[in-house]
Amino acid sequence: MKESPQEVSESHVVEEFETTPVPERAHKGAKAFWGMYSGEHAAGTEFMIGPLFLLAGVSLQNIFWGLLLGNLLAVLSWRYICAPIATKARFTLYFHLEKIAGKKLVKIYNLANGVLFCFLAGAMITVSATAVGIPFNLEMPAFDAIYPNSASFVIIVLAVGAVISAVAGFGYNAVSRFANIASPWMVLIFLGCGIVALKQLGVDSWAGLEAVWTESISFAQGGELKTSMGFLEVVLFAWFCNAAMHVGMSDLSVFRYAKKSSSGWATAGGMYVGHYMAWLAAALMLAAQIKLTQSSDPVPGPMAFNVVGIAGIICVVVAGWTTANPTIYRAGLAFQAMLPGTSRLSMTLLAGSVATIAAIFPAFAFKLLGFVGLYGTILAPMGAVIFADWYLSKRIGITPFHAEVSGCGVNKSVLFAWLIPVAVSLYFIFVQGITTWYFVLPAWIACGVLFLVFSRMRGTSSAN
Amino acid sequence: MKNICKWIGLLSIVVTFILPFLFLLGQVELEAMKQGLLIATVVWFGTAFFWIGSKESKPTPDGDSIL
Repeated sequence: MKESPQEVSESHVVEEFETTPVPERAHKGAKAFWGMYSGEHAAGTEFMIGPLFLLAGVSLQNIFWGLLLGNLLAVLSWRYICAPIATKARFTLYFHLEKIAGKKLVKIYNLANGVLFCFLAGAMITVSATAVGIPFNLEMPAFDAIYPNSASFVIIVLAVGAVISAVAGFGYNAVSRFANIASPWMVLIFLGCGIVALKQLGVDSWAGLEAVWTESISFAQGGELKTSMGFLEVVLFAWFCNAAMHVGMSDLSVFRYAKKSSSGWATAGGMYVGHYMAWLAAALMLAAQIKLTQSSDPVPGPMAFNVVGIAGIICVVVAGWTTANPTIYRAGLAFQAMLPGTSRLSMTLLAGSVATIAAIFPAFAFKLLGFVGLYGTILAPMGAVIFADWYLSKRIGITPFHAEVSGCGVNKSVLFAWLIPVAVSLYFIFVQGITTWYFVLPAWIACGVLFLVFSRMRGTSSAN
Repeated sequence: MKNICKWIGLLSIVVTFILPFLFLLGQVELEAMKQGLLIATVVWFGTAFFWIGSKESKPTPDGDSIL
């Protein structure tokens, strides 16, 4: 990645060990990771994901048990797939992948990452805008809305997006500090939202809660009771929601600092706070909203305002803002890598503009469940290449770190091993209309197997 | 000063934690709880800046978790 002189000087201070293994003096104990994961998974998108389970007609039992198991599988993936390689190799994902796939291919992967980050940031901007719009009596978009429902909504989204993009471009450090400060407070507001919603539902037993829950689904679906997500789907969603980070190896960059691979257990903090408690709390908020206002639109701002008042609005804005910021910043870095000679600032603003335009269309936020699966399907398979190269290449006679050894810019074995399963998955998702989260694991396994087969067929001793 | 801010901030976080439970148990009204949470929020952000240090790292393209 080409950096401006300013970037280079900054990188010496804040982005150490990008091209070298993390030395022992910089290793951190498990405590640092528990804090980090617990805070960072309580994000703006949690306000969207929880209610979408209710609207998908998921039964209460399937949510409780499905999320419990799915999050456990996610934690195990971090602990036993990502963390062991991270604590042995101690490289970032990009540097590790560069050694196997080649610099040019990593740039393409990086671009895919950047584009998907923009849409994710767009959903976060939409979430924040729904809270900012409350004081202006903004009419919120309906759940099935694809396009914005008013000029006011567009103006507020553009304003929120402009502020977030500008801050990502000019003042990242301040937001980073603010995110640290907001983190424990946000987790407690999420918890408070769930508790207050529970009280507003007026239930005092599991059976009562189940009855109210079923009524809420029935109301949201216009009197019907159909589900598009069973137990398996909830498990797969919870497991692969962060697939790019665990089986996709993005968090090699995080765990390369861990003293031991057992620090991977710290992800349980994030999963069970952010992806269990917060999702359940957000889902209960929608159920309470349906009961009190007969509105089943899962718009985070009004939902949070109903249960905890202005603190809820602040929480939605802060949760969306603090998570959209690093996402836009990272997308900007990805674009900068593809366009050498451009400045980080201009690319961050470009990424912010793309994210803001995406945010104008509420469908990106309301279809977040499917988008998250798509994100994992496209990005996670590259983790299988790292996994196969690390554990299996020597056993079947392939040279590990082939691109580094041969000096090639694009390792075609990796390129086609990645593109084939992703292309097949995208065909089934977009043409056949099959749900995205079924494809993450098959694509991951296929990518790893194809990488080994292609590498073996093509040989790895010469530059390819 | 830093210590005072720290203790006031921690107190506001405890209040943020307890208020919803008090509402659940019927000890406070909804509006009072909402106002209490807002005050605790203002106090938390007003005091935490003085004792919670800055995070110096910028995210790498593949760094922090985001969902």
